[in-house]
Amino acid sequence: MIPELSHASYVWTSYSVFGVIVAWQFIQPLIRRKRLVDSMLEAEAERRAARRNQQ
Amino acid sequence: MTPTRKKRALIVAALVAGIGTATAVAVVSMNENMMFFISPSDVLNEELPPDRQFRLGGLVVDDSIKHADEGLQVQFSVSDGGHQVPVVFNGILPDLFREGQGIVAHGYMRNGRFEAHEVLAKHDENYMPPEVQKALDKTGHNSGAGQ
Amino acid sequence: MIWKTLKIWFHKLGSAPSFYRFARVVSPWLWFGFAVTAAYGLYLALYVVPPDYQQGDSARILYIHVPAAWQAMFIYLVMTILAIIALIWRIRLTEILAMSCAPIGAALTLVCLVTGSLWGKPMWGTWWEWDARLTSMLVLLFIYIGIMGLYAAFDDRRKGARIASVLIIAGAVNIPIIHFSVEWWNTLHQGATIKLTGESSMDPSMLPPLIWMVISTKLFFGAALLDRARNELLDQDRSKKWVARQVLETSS
Repeated sequence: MIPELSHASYVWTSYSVFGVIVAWQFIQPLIRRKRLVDSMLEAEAERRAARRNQQ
Repeated sequence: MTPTRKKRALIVAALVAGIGTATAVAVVSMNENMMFFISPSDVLNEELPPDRQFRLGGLVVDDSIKHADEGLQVQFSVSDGGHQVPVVFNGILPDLFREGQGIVAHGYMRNGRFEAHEVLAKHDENYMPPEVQKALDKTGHNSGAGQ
Repeated sequence: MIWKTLKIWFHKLGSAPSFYRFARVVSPWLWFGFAVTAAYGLYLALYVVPPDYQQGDSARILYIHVPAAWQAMFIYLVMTILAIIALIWRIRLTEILAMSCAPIGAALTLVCLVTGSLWGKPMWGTWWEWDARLTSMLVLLFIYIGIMGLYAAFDDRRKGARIASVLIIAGAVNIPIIHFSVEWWNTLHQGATIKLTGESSMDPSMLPPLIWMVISTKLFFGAALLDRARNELLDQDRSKKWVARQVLETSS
């Protein structure tokens, strides 16, 4: 399954670095979007609550 | 394009031209310092101060590698096709070190010999499977390591 | 006729809500394309391709190192074009796209530097040397980080983007320096293997994974760029009506 390579530790570390950095580029925008949407929903809820209190 | 955009385009063009010229001048004037190593011919043609450290680059001459009987000391010659410089080194050689291989040694000249404290291997831009290399060797085509 | 359609399409895409929708629909497909091409490319690179005659299996690192280096430079070119358009025409979307390029380019430059170091240790005998190619690539990383920092330093996003665009254009001189460094000067790094003109010095049997990885890093860039630009748009327009319609109604 796993090929026998010379300099295996260097090769596998290189491929792992690529994997980790690519994964981070995928995940980071997702986290940021979730934070953005959450903060917007929160602001919206506050606005609604304020309107209800006025009535 | 509207006049304001034309003006902005001109500013951008001036920026590119300015930075480009400045860089070109810097690159040309620093050319010598940008060289990572110098060749054996340069070493023999230019009189270098004896205690100046520099990097020497070239190909390891065939049949020139001599290991000391004891310890790690190794002697070999480096050539750029024209001239040769003998090198002495005390330490561990990189995996790619072999005859005909391009190497870069860091050290200084002493009594006509280059005393290196570091030897790096340079590999060339050729990539091929071992079988192809064997076939090339058989037909007498040597891939030849790059400098 | 075609020109007019293109122009209308361009203007439509340039509006924030349509770009947001476009990015949301297209990005998952690009990620999917990236996953497929990268999986196939890495499979070829690790299992199918023969080892190198001199370097053994360590040469397999090139299938990460080279596509990452090329893509890092390609992203810089795209970013420079966007920055020029942003400076002259002041189109907000191109400012956002240019700024979104920088972190992706920085990530790939980092991949290139780290994998290069991991390759240099066993082959050259050193993790790092200050030769022209390695140094100019490190400068590229610093330029990318500088652009991100400059953009983040301004409260006014549009002003920050314009000032960072000037840095992008100034830093573009580094790209030809990286490319030609191995020809102009003696370097520890070897010369170009794949040449635009003339014969490449790589055995054809070793090429397919490189081609697949080059395609996959292009798709990766597209996907990551759309994701980041979409977030930036959302952040800048958080109090606009279209955001409320697009985001709040669909997620609540």
